[in-house]
Amino acid sequence: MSPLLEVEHLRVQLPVGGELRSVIRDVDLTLEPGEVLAMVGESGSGKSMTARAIMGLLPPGAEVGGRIAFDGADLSAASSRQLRELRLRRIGMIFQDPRAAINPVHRIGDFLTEVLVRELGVPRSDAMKRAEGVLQEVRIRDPEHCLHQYPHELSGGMLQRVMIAAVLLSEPDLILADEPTTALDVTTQAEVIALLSDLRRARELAMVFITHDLELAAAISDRIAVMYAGSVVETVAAAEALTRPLHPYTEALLESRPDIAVRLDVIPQISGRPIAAYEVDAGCPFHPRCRYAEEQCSLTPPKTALVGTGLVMCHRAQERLGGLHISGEQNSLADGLGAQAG
Amino acid sequence: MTPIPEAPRDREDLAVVAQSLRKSFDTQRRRQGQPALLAVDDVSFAIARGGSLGIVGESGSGKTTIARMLTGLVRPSGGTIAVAGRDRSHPARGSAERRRRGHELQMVFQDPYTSLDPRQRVVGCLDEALRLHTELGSKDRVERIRELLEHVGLDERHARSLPRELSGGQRQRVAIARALAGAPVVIVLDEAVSALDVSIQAQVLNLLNRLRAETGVAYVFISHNLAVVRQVCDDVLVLQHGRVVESGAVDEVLDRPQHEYTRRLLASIPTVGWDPHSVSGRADVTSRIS
Repeated sequence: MSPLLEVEHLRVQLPVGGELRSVIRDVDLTLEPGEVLAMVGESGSGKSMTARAIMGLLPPGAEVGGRIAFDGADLSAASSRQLRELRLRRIGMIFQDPRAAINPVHRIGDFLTEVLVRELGVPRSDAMKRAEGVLQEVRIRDPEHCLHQYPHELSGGMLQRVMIAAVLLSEPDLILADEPTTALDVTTQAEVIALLSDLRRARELAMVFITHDLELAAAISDRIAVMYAGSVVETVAAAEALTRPLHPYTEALLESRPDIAVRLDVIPQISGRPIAAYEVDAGCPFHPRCRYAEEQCSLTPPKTALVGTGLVMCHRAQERLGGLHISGEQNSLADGLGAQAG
Repeated sequence: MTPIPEAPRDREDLAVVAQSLRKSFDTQRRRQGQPALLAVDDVSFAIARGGSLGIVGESGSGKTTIARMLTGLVRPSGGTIAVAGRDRSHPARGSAERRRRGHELQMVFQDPYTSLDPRQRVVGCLDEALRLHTELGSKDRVERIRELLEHVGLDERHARSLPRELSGGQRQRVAIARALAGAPVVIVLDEAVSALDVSIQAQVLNLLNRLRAETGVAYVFISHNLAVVRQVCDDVLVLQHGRVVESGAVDEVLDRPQHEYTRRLLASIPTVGWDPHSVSGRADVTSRIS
């Protein structure tokens, strides 16, 4: 089976104050049909920009390098009309804030049927029936009533279900979900995640799920790509990412997450702040914050290599696989605590 | 859990005592012939000096309304609030009283982008707070500013910066330093670490714990994140629809949750091997907002 989505050496630069700034340095991704890939990273790591590059929705003036292929077709060669067609029928997108994505003055029914009626020429009554059907599919209890409601009458969780329903209507092969549950309450988040994972199975959907939460990513995805400063630093099976992180950044992210089970006197923290892609100079982008950094880490950029079962961009990944992360080096983290400003 | 005293007045050993707090927002709903919305319904708690109380709940549970009543931004419909033994259920009479209240209770908000003046440098922001809340002369203020910055892990270079030149974590440190300036009895932190990246969040949580130990300030820590509450609070109130459904020592409540809603909140947190389908008692899958 050929991959549904292939991203090779993606580079993106955006114009900022007269100069071009790098936001994505070198991203490689593949996604098989029906697979869910989570992209995890902190703000500015380039995860949303990667999704926008795939959709052809980058800001004006963006310089793009590398190759993006969807279902075998090279998207960098596609016309804006072809891209539009693709977004209409094959790739759907879900955003963090459904309230910003849904026109507040239209009823839910009109919002859901707009594309079907105006772009795909479906008769209105048929479109309404299909809309009711997808609302049922996203588990809205009274879909007929919902069709006649306005967005302000729905809670954030309900509105995100409507957004998912809208995406399902175009029967896409791929859904790009950009932090779709970040703005929701935890219990609502659990419901939406349960819904998304049921839908992907029932409809054999492929999905790119963007989040800053590694544990959430592991719950919804098959594989996880961890991003830092515009690069993918680790790509690994979801279960492995939580139990055996190979990149020091992934490991540090997991440790610094507040633990629900125990109170710690001092939470392990990553010193310094996440840097942006354009701030990366020689060497590994993570080396100034890395507890395992050696001389070579500040001199030469590491190459991505297969280590164990994952792809890792780290000079010391092979050693770390051998058990370095359970050696005494952990102490250096505690020593650095408190001294650094965020 | 700190017991709620019979007579909160003159109990200077308690940082905050809230008794039977109530807030209804009714004007518009009354006009439409609906019953008033009880945003906060009979909420009581006490926090010892240097204590830390977490208030958790989902959106609409009333946690921010409680914060706003504590700060005096919203007037309670019923109940009393005392800070350091002094009642503040009614609006302040006169500017001296208002200043004293500001001096005793400070607030840190979720978004430091909007809670700091974009045109004011960090040093100016802290100096303003010191002039307002202390009697220090200009020389002492310079010294105190240096001390405050050091407390929160910032340096001279940051002092000369404008908020836009700082990262999100640094800005939140400035907001915390400003809150600490007048040596308050209690700081109300409303989702103060929610907008921060994970790696920065850990830094700020460690900072908050260290500051409480060093200065003896008390916290009212409002959050939707139980894991964060576990790290910085002694006690916790779990709110649902404006009512306290469970309260107690953090370890007790999180390790042995008694109320079904607390259990559901805990089950909703993604961890290793988490299954979102396990979150029972789905909230409201109707298309109407209650």
